[in-house]
Amino acid sequence: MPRRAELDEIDEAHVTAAERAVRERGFLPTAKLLSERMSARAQSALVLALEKRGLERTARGVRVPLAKQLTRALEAARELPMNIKLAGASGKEIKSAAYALVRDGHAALIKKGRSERLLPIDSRVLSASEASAFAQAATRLTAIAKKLEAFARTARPTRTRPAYALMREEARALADEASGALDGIVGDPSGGNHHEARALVLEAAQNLVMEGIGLVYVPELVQSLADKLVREEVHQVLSDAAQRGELELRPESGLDRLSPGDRAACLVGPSGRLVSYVRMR
Amino acid sequence: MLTPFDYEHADPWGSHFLDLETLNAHVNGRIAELLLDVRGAAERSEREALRTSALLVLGPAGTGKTHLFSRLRRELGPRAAFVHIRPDIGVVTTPRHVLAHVIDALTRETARQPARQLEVVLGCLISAARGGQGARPLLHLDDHRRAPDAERAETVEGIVDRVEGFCFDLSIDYLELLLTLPVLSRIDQRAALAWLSGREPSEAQLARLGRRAGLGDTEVIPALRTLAAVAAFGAPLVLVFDQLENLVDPNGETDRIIAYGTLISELRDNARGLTLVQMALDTEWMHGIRSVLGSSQRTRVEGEIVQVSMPTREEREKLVKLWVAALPDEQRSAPFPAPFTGDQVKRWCDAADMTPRALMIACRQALAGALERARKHPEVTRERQPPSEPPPRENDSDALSLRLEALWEEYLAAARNELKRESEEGRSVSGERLAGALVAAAGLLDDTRALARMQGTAVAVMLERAQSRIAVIIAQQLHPRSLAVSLRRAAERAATEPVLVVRDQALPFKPSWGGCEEQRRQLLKSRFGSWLELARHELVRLLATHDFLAAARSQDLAGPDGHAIDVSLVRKWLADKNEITQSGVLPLALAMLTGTRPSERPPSAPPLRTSTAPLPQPEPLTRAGAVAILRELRIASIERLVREVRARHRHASRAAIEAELRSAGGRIRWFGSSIVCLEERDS
Repeated sequence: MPRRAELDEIDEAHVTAAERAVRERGFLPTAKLLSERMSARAQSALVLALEKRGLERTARGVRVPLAKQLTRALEAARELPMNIKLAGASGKEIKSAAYALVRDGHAALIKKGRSERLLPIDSRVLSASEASAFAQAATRLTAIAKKLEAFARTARPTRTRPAYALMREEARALADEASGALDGIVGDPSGGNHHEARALVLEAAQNLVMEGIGLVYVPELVQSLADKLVREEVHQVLSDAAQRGELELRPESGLDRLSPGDRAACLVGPSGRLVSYVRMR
Repeated sequence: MLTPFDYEHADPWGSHFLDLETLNAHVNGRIAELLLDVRGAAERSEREALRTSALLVLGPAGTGKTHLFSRLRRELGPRAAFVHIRPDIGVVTTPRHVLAHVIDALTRETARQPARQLEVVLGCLISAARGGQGARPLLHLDDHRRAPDAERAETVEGIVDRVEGFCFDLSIDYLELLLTLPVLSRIDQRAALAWLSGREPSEAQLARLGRRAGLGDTEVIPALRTLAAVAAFGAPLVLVFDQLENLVDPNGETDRIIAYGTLISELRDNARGLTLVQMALDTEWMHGIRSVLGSSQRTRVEGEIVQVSMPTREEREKLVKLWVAALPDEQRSAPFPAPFTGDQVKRWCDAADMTPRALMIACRQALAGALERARKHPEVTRERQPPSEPPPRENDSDALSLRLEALWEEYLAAARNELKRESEEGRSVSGERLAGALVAAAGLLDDTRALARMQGTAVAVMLERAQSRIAVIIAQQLHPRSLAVSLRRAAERAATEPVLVVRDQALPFKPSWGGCEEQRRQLLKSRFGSWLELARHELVRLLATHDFLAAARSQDLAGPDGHAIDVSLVRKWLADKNEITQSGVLPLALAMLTGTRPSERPPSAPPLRTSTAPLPQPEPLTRAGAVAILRELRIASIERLVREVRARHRHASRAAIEAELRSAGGRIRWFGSSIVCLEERDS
């Protein structure tokens, strides 16, 4: 039986068809990107064109970028094991993509028993500022523990003196200091105001992205949420999101272009610069 | 000793380069793709596929836009030829201006090969014509140079045929001269480059080329089109327009923005194979430029918008590591984060609004503090250093002044280098560049408005104050014919309104330029005409003022705290320095406006050569010096006379000596402008 003729030239229609097929299936081997047989030259041109359209090339074929597949899976399931199966990817690649997502602040990694699991960034995990407060509290507690130990040591007799009595007031002060260090380090996990505010701000920011420019004007964002959130809440959410790497704080670069109202609505960044725009990553 | 933290302003052509490749890799990645498309289309000779694309790169100050140019040059050169253009303050950017920049940039070396960009462009073209797909350009160029005349002519013909085949609207005359460049002598090359750049060649250069005039106005766009098509074969042209925020006029004039929009539209519509990369501050672009452009211009200028990213936390840390690794050994005797503390590095990395420049300045200051502490407490080991303390600092305004002074010195040095480069090419800065500098300097004066306009081959800066105005004509031409025309027009104009003609002192009239000398005399005889030769030190200060103010407007001048210094503070500081506003061309022009004498110059500044009809002549510095010495010599060149006078009066300047000779009237006979003779009269 004669072999089918090979396709040697790739046009836009072929690329579109192959792209649709890969996006539907998640992954396709190079030879099966089109229903027709392709020459090696056509295969390589098609793969190149698909790469330009945002798909990922692998040794065997073309797939939807792994980070995207992982994000989608994470959106669908609230928690993912690290041995999840994804189209066209090895376990090692999946693990490395998952770690990259975590490093970029788009997902959280937790340890459950002996296995690692991936979580979306939501109210179940501490925010960066909460985690930092937690770490600070741990440091404070260590210092307080040392003081408690020193205080308790005086109640023990030595060879040269009997035991000292401990003053109730001093003991209470130390106990208060210890409990004070733990106060408020973990916010309300049931969503609380912060998570609600975060959802509101990020959604509003997405809607206000300037077309073609990709930036959000902070005074406009503050104004759009004026009936729901105060300025400081919006700023707090933006700062936290910037810490997580979800958006960029862009220092104001205009030559005295801000009106007093807009200037007041801008966020003051951690190093004291006025931030007039944010850019969603 | 300079540390990596001292290079806070990227030098587009500089040799110092530390780069974090992942930061903003998307921008150079995109440009590389565009270049690939251009090269592919040229190789396949597909006219329709060969397009000029425009990429607009926006970002806050200090995020590394100019650094991107250096990176592109290193990453993609010599597979692309890079041109860096910054708009002048107050002067419209024209296609001729762009052409001059393109040719200047092509004569610079590529980043990775010891060859000029132009040699790579021509080598690729020759290689492509021989079917080599632009590979090994220097080898092909060398072969071409050694080939017999007939073979060379054949190659040139083949190239013209090939380029014309897919780009039929190019300038054959321009292309042919361009292709002869590799085999010309150095001096002929210089003449050819002057012509190709659209500048006015000198008389001698035109004679060498066998031409009567420079490139005409209607030939400039075809010349650019030709260059773009020729370069597309191996090293496509990348035109980088930087600091576009300087197009915004503080007085609200929009003509420069519109002219820029027209220029880009013209390039996109008329040239094929260019990659236009435009860089601007995001806020200024959105609020000051975008709204002024018409929709047809906007679609062409904003072909594709790319945002420069702020560094992520990890990238900030990597940047600090990169810089620390480049520190001299004695400044990093312990592992990272030394010489900084862990807290410092953490604080910088956690600050999401920290730009790379702000980070660099923070590192520099922390390093200065650490070194100061180590000097004061040499016995304290690194592990037991005293708690971090800020480096000793004067009060805020003193620290700011010191900082501005240090930056100003950098800009003065850059201006001196620029003049040196121009002088090596046998020319001076262009009229437009000088006009931009004058407009910028005039902006420092209260109630004074300045506007630059082209007038034939000269540029006129109109200075207006309180209902009166003066035209400062900048006559930097190298050819006596066009210079004489400008002087004649200026003399005619000076009959009815104040006119000051300005020319670089380093461009004296040649003895054979009788026509120019005559027109200068007419100008000085006229009612309101005046003539001023700019001394080098004043030229340096004018150029530095322009660039300093442009940098301030681009928020490139960072204060001691790492924040951009407010442009109004920079203007005030410069105005208070009085270097530009109290001596030189501006006070002279304004004195002519009001009919008063310019204020006394500071003793450090040598006097300028001025010849003005309505104003008193400046005081001769060497009273009886020059004339007395000339009496001894009888006849001498100006150069000789200057040497002799300086041997006795150390501070005498050439301008003052010439002023003294001119004020001596009929006793001094001039032969051209270089030889003088003292005529003893019978009593």
